Amino acid sequence: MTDRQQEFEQQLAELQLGYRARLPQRVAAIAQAWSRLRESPGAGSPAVDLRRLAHNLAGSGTAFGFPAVSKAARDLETAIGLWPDAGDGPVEEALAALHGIVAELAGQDAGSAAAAAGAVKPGPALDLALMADPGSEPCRELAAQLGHYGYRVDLVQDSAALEQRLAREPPAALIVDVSHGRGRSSGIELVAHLQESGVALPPVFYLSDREDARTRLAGVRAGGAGFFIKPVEAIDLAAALERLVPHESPEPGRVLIVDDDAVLAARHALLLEQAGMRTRVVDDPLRAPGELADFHPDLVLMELYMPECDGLELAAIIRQQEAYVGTSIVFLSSDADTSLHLRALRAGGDDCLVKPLPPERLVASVAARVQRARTLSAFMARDSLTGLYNHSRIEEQFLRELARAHRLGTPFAYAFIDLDHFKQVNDVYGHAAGDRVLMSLARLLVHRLRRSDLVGRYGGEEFIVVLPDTDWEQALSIIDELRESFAGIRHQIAGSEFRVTFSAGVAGFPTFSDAVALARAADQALYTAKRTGRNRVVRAPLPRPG
Amino acid sequence: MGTPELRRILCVEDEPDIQTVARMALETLGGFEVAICGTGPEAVERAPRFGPDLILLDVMLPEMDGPQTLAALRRLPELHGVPVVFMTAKVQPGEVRRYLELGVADVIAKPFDPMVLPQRVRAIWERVHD
Repeated sequence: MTDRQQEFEQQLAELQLGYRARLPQRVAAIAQAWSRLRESPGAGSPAVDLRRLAHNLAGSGTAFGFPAVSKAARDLETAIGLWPDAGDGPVEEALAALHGIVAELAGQDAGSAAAAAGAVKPGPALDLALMADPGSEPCRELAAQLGHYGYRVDLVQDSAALEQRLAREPPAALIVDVSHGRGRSSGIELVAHLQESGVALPPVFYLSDREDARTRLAGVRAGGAGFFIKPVEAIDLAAALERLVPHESPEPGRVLIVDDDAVLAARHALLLEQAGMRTRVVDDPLRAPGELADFHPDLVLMELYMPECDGLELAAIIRQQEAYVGTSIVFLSSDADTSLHLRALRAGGDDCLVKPLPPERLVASVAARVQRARTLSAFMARDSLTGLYNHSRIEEQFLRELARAHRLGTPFAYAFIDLDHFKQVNDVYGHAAGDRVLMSLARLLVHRLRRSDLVGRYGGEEFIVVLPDTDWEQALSIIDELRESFAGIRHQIAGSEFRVTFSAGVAGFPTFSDAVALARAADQALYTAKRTGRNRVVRAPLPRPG
Repeated sequence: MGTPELRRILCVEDEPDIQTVARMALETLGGFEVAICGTGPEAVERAPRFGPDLILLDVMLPEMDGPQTLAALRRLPELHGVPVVFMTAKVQPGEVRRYLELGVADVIAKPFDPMVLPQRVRAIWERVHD
């Protein structure tokens, strides 16, 4: 990649973050224009305003790496064009869909969205500003509890203090108590006011006493990214906040291009490479299955008509193999015949693009599908409750890390964590409470550890943490800090409140050099921790010589 | 005789986000000198002084739309022979054909991919001078 490209990618990544942060405001402006139009129906200037807002959003979304926004805004633009003849329904539906996508984006990690366009930027600090009455005990407690999950919370009392805080160092998110100040929803009014005066706001989360639609709507209009009903539990807020934090830059998307037209294939490969993806080209469809196993693409882009083995047959071959269930298949065809396209989709294709197609269209379609394939395979690797790596994936990651450590001669630490008396939590407070405890530990681990650390749920209430490039003395104190924080979390369920602790055993490479010995050593240390009173972290005894 | 060098691009676009991303892509990635105008009248006023080699013109502009701006630009003797490229979200074949009949060099579909925009523009430039 040239210096210019690199420089531009950095600029673009910054633009994307800014654009994404402003999306909720833009949708709020569209919603406002729509209510103005409904108050004074007519095809005059309010209709033109609304249409222009939707049109501009449609025209910019994809350029900033958000094709779904473009599509939803385009649908809205179409619906507005049919209004009032087609009634309010289509506009309302399209507006709701757009709002849904933007809300999801506010949650989704910025890193992967930017990666779809080939650019990634390091994430913001985990600084939060909480605007609430500093005398309010629940709010102070919420701030303290969020601290356990690794967030630094700044309490600000009024809008002047907030503006100062925003100007000094913008926080990753703003949490606003709706009932703070005078009036029943003055928190929302205050944010709306800031927005109108052009202050750039981070994503805003509202805490409210009331759940009525009017308050929620006011929150949405003022660009709210989330709305929580009091009493708010730190873990729920942490879950929403977590999605704001960009994750480690993922590898570029991989696309296998199968096309007997070598010139066209090379051109598509070039376009996709320029958009930050990695490609491999096969001009003989019979070689595709082999390449598939070797290259592990996120997406297969293939011509529908090919001699020897056409795209439909190849799709069937791919779909018959479980290993490729998450791989996306996109067909290219120069035939606009819809019945053929339907057959292609039935054969397991995800999309069918008609050639010739504009480069932007190709890149946008492929990038969006690659992103989806990535999300899907991430889901398959994750434990459904906690979102951590599942049993088989964390084992796989552990073995990979061990191999890497052997190769490079770097140390790494391995911790086996088990919740104390977890069965009692389930028995006394119910399984739902138990699940929340598991989730809260998962969130704490993910937040407090480095991005490069690997965290998995091994089973039940057991977790595994792998800390690359860390010697186990360091690891011991890291895990112990986590233990203390976790013990400080108050879990609330149906009016009662309790705390849970964990025990951990820590071992490491190169003291233990093979997988079985290492895992066994950590397991034995955990056993010692349990036997000697729980709520502690124990280091594995050194292996006996010989 | 080779293709003359493409150096200055005038971009007429009312949407601030697109203005920024187009400017960055064309300047940083393409190495062009770029001027941005938010409206048709502004473009008509600034174009003769800026002296662009090529003009990128959004079709859906407030007040004076793309085709109207194109007509006004065409009346300026200083811009004789300067290729104009439309940028539009509407890419139905009929629509594109109508635009081409108005005498634009090409039509770039919006939303465009900023990573390939400079190449796209350069390719159009080369084709015009082929």
